[in-house]
Amino acid sequence: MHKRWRLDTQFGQEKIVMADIKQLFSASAPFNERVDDMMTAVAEACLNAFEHGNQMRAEAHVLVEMTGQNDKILFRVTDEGTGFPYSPAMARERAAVPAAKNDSADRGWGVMLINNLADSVRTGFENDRFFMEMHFLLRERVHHA
Amino acid sequence: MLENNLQISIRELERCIILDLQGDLNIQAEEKLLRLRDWEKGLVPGKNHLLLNFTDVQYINSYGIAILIRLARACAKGGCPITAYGLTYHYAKLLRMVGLTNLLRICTDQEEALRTV
Repeated sequence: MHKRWRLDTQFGQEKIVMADIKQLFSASAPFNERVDDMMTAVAEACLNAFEHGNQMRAEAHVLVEMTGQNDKILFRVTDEGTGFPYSPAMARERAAVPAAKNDSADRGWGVMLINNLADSVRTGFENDRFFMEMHFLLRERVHHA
Repeated sequence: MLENNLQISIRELERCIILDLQGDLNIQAEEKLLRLRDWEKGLVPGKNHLLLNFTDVQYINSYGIAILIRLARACAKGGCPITAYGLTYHYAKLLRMVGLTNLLRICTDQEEALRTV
């Protein structure tokens, strides 16, 4: 299974991908929660790409690619920016801070959600383009939030 | 599909105020929700409990979560407890993930939420 989307840099465009994910996996009833996880994580990666990667430049685009084999789904979100330092440890540290006690609550929730919802995350560069990759296993998962 | 701006309807009940939210809770909702009133001053005497009805909210992203955190903090300063209800399982999970349940209570429906008032 392979699918790709080319999005304009504009808030709301992520919903195109979300709707397609929902439709593609709608038959996978037992895995509905994982479908919701994928939709949110991919949407958050797109929002990061629009704002931080492409700096909301209208002429820039965001590429989303999905590949799937059996119960393993991979999403890669590529933007035209310079990237940001991502590490699971950083995201875990963010997750450990309750909203009630964090003074910088306005920022950083997207990466934290992605880290919590995907089974694994990595970032990198290909052809000078920054990407974020998220792996999902379409099976039930226990959340420790 | 892309534009589904948040609409807010206000209901005043005997001991609380309910905001019926409809649409998406995203960056565009900031002005509408946070500027609705001065939340740090609390609500109406005798009705100082805020209920947020998410039944007709289809999409919440990290910007929306940040808005909720700011709203909940402002209400806490105003001595105004918040109860949210009507969230899907997924979005309730996200609010728990970010620690918002330290600032607001999550209930299943209006009936359960009204029992917290």
